Amino acid sequence: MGKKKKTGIIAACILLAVILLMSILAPVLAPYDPNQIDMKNPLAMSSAKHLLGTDNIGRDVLSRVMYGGRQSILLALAATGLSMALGCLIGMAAGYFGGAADLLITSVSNVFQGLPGMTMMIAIAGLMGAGVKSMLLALVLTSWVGFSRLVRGEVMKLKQELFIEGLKGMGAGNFRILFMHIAPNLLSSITIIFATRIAGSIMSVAALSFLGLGLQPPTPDWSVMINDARSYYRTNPLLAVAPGVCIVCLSLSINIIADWLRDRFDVRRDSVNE
Amino acid sequence: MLKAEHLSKHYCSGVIRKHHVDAVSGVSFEIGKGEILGIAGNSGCGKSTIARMLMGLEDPDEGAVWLDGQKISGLTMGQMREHRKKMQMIFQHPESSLDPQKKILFSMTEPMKIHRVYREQKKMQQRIEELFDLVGVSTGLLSRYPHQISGGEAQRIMIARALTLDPKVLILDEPTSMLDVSIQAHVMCLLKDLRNKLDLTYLFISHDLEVLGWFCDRISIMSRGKFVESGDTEQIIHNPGHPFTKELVDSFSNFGQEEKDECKQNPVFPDGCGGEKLYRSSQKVFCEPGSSDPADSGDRERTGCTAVCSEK
Amino acid sequence: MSEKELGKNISLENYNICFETAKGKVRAVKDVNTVFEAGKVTGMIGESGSGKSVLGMGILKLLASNAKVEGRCLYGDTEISAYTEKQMDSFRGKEIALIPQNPAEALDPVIRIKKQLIEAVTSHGGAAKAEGEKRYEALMKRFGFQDSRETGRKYSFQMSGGMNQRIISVLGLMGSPKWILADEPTKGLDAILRRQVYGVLKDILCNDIKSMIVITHDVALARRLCDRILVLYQGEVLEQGDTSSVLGQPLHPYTEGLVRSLPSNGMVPIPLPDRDKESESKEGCVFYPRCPRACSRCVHEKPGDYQSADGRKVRCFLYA
Repeated sequence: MGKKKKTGIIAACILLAVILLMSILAPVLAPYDPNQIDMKNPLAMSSAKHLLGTDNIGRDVLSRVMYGGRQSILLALAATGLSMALGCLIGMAAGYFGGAADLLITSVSNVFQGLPGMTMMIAIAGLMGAGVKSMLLALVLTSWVGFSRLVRGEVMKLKQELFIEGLKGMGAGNFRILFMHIAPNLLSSITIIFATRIAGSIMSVAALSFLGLGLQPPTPDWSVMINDARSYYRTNPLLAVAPGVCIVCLSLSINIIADWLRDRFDVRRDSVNE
Repeated sequence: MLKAEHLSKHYCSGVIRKHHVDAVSGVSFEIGKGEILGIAGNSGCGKSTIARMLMGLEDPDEGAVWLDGQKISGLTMGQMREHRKKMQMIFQHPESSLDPQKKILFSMTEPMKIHRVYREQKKMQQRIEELFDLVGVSTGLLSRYPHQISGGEAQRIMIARALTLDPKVLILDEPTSMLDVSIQAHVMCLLKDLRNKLDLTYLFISHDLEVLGWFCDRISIMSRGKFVESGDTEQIIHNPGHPFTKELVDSFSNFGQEEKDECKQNPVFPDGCGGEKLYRSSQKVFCEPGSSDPADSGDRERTGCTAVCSEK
Repeated sequence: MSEKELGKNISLENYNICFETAKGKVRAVKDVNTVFEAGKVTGMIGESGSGKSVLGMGILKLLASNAKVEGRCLYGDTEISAYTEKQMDSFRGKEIALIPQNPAEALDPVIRIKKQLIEAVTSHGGAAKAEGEKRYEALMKRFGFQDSRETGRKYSFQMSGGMNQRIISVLGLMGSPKWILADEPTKGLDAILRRQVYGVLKDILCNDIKSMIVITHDVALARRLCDRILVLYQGEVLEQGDTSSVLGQPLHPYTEGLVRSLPSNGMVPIPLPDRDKESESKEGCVFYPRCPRACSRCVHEKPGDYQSADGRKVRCFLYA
């Protein structure tokens, strides 16, 4: 690994740690209550009292930025976790049993793959009404396919392995083979795709909330804050920039780490073969 | 003990123009208790497909497998379970026969857990130690992962694992072709030893006629999905009848022993494509399907071979 | 034959190769001193992990980037172990050509056979395209491809294993090298294919190139093909000498064990390493833990290369 790459990864890890710590410790660290309105002091510039200034109804921007990641990170984790569980089960069934089950599942997932993700999310949010539940559903429905396709491919490869044949020859049942042998062997590839997907989920949550279809004001959330700041970005650019930088940093650091994870696992696979 | 009747397996490939490949066609044999039958043949001749059909990993298109007087082909998974205890298989690649994510101990206890042989962990452990002693592997390996052990050790562990259920028949699919010669000698000696100690019956599949000759009581020579010659080891090795057998025997017994060849002035490859031509000719001339005229010479049977029969 | 046709001797002096891995240094080849004589076929036999392939790739400088080479590798009088990557590029192919193991994988599946073969000589800037074509035609004929045009249009996956083996041999010969290094030519092949490969190598020996290094685990092939043999075990050359004497009357206990474990010789196994002995000796003889004729001296002292009466070099105290 090159030195430059290594520094990049370390920087990404530190950045991610800072953002996560900031979000987790927000109740301790934040100087103000994020929803405390101070109508006497709206749109203040940055000062010693309010480091990042205040918004249009006088809430402290720094405090809101600190709180702003909590909801979307949790939501992204939940959505990715759910789609992973769903995708893995479906993919394992398709890959292991093959035949008609595989054909059905593959055609359904092809349809889902063909649907434009964002449009579908907007449609679902529109149908079910904006809110956390519908956003979760929209995210899961659009991203399980990524997992199931990968898992199906891996399972089909694993199925050919001699140790699986051996287990069948020993009389092991499908349940045992699937959950005690195939699932643990999928772990590394699932981890990689999970890490890659989580960045995407964070972006989707942000986009939906920005459009007003996800998290609702007054929740202190980065994308909600950006949405609120639209009218003031000329005079008070910090209002939009601060949460924007946070979103970019978060998804960037996760992406870098996910890439590194993938490289690492690939290398290890090769060295085992040697 | 183990009997195969007219086993056949065809594969289809291609979407528009179907290609039919006869992986195995009409193979029959019988192995008596305590006997070692060897199946020899080149890569791709269908010998592994036979093994898979015997183990029930693949259903034969035609024919049936009989184990201990009971027909075992066409059974459901549940019905098959009991029979599986009696017959176990050793594969060609020992390293990939073990789940890479599980420690050896887990893989060793698994057959006993599946068939609920012992309930207590202690008894299982005891049995494993017994078996490891038998195959000559240190019990220290139990806490290792498959990639931390050598190929020879892995193959011995596979043998020990196959024995956990006290099987009567072992199917050995090229168990030593991936091992070094000195390790091969170990594993083969171990297998021979085990047969005497445990009264096992073996079906040994290999392309190495030398190893087969050393190990087996009887040998069947396989080419293109069919048995072309079967007989006692001595006879096959020293007095091969079928041209294919002759060629196979030649490529071994004369290979290492012969003096160095002098250079021929113009060594010629059989026009076009070396062995492919040879294969094709041996298929066409000697083994036209349906033209079989099995003429028994002694206790050897030959099938599908008109050329030899008319020679005699 | 002149030196021009035979090439020069390749000699290794105190040759060591080690790999820097995450777990520390791994010594793959240890203190090799030998001469590969021009005009002769030298076989390197040994089991997996003996370092025979690493040694071969070391001569060609085709090792992974974490490999470290110590000692000298000489071609005639020039030290090729000191060559730069660029010098090595023209050296490989022109002086020594590699016939890799697993021919199907060594050929690019998406480039037509002919293009690959001709590229091999023209890419080094050595030969003109017309010259390459001429050589290609001649070699394809020699190796039994009557219709060289038809075959040249094919891809490697359209050919059988035996045909690919001959194509890869043509590839090796395209640059008219003086030496051939064949890496595990019979690995994983069945008996009939193995004999074909032997035929190809023998044919090259008879008609093109007299100097050859054959890396193999196949003792029968080595006996049939080679003039000299090096027996490797865990990175050390334990015995080297003429084929007939090394395999006929082996001196080193390992060579003896190896020959006796062949199926045709009754498959008598070499004892497995004794765990106690393994932990006991770290700096002694590499074969000590498995050696049936070990003595107390083997535990702590490394044997040198001792010359036997018939000119063989054996790394064992029995012949000191």
